[in-house]
Amino acid sequence: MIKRLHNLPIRQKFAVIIIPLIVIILAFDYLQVRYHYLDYNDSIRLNEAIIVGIEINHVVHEIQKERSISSGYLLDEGASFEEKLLAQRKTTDSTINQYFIELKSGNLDDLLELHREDLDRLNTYFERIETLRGGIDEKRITSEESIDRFSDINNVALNTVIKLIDETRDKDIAQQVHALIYFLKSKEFASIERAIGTQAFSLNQLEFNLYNRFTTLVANQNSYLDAFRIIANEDFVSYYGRMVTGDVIEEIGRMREVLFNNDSLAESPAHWYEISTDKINLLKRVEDYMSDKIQTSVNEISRSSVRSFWTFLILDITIGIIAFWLMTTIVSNLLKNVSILEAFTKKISSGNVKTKVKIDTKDELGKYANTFNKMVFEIRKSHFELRKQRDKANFMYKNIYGVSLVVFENIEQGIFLLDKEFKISKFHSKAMREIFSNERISGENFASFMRPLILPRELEALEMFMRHLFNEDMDEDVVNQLNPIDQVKIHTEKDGVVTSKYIRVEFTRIFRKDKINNIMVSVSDETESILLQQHLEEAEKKKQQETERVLSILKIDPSILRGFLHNSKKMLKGISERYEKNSDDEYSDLLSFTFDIIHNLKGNALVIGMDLMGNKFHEIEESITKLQSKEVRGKDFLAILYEVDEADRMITEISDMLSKIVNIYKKLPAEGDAASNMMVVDTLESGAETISKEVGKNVELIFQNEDDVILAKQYIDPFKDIMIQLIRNSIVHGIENPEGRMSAGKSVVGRLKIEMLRDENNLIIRYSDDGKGLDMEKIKHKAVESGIVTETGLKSMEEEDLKKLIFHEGFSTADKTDKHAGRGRGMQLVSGIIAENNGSFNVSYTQGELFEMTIRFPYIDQDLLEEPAEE
Amino acid sequence: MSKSVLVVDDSIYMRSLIKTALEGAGYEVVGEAQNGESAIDLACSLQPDLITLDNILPDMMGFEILKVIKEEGVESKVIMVSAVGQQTVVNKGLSLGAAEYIVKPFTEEDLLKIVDKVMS
Repeated sequence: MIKRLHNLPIRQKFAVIIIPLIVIILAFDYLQVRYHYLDYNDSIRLNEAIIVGIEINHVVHEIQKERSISSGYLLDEGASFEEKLLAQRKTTDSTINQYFIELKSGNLDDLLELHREDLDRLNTYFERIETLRGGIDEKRITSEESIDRFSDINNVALNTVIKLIDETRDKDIAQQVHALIYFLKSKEFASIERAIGTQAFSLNQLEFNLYNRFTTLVANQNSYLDAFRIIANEDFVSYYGRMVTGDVIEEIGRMREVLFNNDSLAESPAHWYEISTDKINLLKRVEDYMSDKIQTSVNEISRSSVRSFWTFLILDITIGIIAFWLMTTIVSNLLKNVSILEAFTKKISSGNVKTKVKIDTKDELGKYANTFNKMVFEIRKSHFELRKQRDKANFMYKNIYGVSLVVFENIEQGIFLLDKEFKISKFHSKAMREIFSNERISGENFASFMRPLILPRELEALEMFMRHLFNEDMDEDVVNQLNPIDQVKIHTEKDGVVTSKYIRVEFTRIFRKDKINNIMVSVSDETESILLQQHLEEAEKKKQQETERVLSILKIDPSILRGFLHNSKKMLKGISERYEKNSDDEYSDLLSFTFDIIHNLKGNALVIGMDLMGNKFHEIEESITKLQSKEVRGKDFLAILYEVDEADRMITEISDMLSKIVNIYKKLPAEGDAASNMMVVDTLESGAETISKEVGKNVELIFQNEDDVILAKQYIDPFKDIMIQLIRNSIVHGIENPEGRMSAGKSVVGRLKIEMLRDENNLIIRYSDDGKGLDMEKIKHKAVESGIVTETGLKSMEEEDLKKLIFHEGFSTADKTDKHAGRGRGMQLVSGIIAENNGSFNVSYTQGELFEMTIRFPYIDQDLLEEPAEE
Repeated sequence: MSKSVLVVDDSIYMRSLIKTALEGAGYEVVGEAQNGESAIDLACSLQPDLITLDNILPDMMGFEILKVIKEEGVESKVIMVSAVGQQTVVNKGLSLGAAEYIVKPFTEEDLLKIVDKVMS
């Protein structure tokens, strides 16, 4: 509830406060107006009631007098009272008339309405007066009866007065009115006392009943006077005290005692009547005085209540209008300012900082508005400043970024920055990824990044070195001297292939505000230059060695060299055999045995001019000599054996080289064009490679020439043409595809073999492949299909002839033709060339394993090795 | 045996009025007092069944007399006789042990009704 109240908009909060206040004020105001109005109304009515009441009192007073006179008239035979009675009756009637006139005059509607019943009742009693007077005139009623009848009328009249004036809400007035009423009652009893006294003195006696009545009248008269004295104000009581006193009152007291003692009532009734009347007239004066006073004060009250009613109303309305005006002015101003501030803050929060707020009042809201304006001004200022800086930074960033990007994309060096945690910066040159074959470089710790690439001890050194990179106490040059990866070999892996690289890594400190902020690292790949250098060095060395060996061989007679090599190999073998066989020999004997042999060989080498070997043997001899000077142990021989082994290897190498040289000589053609022979083989090899690649098969061509057969010049081209056709046929038809070979349990690579042989008269060329051999059924079928033979012809053919069907014109087993096979010309060409050169051939095969063709040509004798020797 | 009554009032007419009324109804008015002093004396000596005690006497107030005679051990029933507008005085008397009160002026019937009620 309270929270709900707190959450209300200010406008509603005002309403919550003000509306109950207004309701309370209006309600209070209404009560006040009503109270004043009632007061005013009451006083007016009371005023009128009092006027009417006074008129009634006048009537009562006259009836009282008429009552006494009537009583006297009835008792006194009428003589002394008659005149008096008539006069009194006139007076009574005139006061009654006066009363009616008063009743009709003025605005008594309210009063009449309120007391209609009482006033009507009073009127009927007043009307009875005439009847009563008739009874008196005719003396039909007794004195006592007349007293009672008049008293009844007076009683009703007085009660009417009481009712008329009993309504006032003014307590003081009400009390004085009551005092007046008690006084009137007392006076009424005084008046009856006068009548009874008159009667008693007239009859000179007071009967028991009348006596009792007399005492009661006096007692009650006194009782009402007591009541009057108690409640009447001081003014009235003292006025009564001043007025009702003196001889008349003392005389009344004396005559009362006479009546009370009831001895002899010799007093004159007229005297009693007179002094009683005097007393009653005194009472009447007090009554008039009180009536006047009450009327005056009622008038006063009435006037003042009218005055206060109107004063209150005017004040009330005036204050109400002022209060309402103040309230609406202040509240509407407050609300207006609040809504101005609200609209303003909304504008600001939506980003419009160019706005300004204007509030005229100098209250807190006005101050807030000023503060807001200052704030907005400051915001605008910093906004502008920020925007300027941002634009500047943007411009710089775009330029620098663009340039950096171009540099990083194109530079061949790996460049990146290290932060204080040795993390590799986001931006690094593209070359980094190429050098390290790694895409994930950014954010890696440099040491972790290098861990898989370098050796553990290098990594350890790198980590130590990195600790000094940011150490400002150490000079940068000194730190860089510790760089363990200044030049380092790394092993990178890409797609499962491990590559070794040589890289150079350099570290440069980057300062910002005199502090080392970053380390710039540059990495360059030096693999190529280093490898090239190594390669060149090795090649140079090898070349030199080979040249030396070749030269040493070339300058020695081949047969002598062969003899030396053969002898050396045998001798060295002898040493190792002796070692294996006689392990328990004396070491010194063994040593001298070895020494003798090596010494002998050294001598031989030097004799034939084989300095290379001579030097080697000399080294061995030196080693043995060193051993001979001290005690020899088993393990010392290991070194000797190693050296002997090395010498043996050198001899083997020289032998190989010698046979290579011999081979080269042998391959030369008859006319000294040995290179032509080699070139044919090269041509066939590259032809086989080309064809096999095109048909998606894998083959190797083996050329075997153990007899060092040299093709005569006239056979070179036929040999080449035949072989090309056969190789093509093998690859296309014979060799299975890789899957087929694998399922047949063969090596994936198909084997084609050319073997050169000779016998007494012939040059023999044996061509074979390890393909699927010949499919005779297919050959037969194709032969029939091609129209080469008939079905019946086939049945009479020998096995050898069937095989030769493939050499027939127009034969092909291929289902489609391409440049390699299927035109049915290849094998026909082969048989044609053989025939042209007076050759012969035969074909054999093993189903699924082998195809072989042996070609023979007449041998043309040309010993190429010997020819240069003859020259 | 008729009940004995002491009438206390300074007005001879009131005493006469009360006496006449009560004797007419069969009560025996054994004494009359017109002031406080004689009222106390008579109450103590006569020990009447009933005392009608006027509130305002020349020397004392009625409730003062009531207080005294109650202290003296008088067991008479007391009816306070009061003028209009003396309600506080009447209340004082009632709290001191008065049996009833009657407001002046009263009729004979009014008086007898209250006396009969008190004495029954």
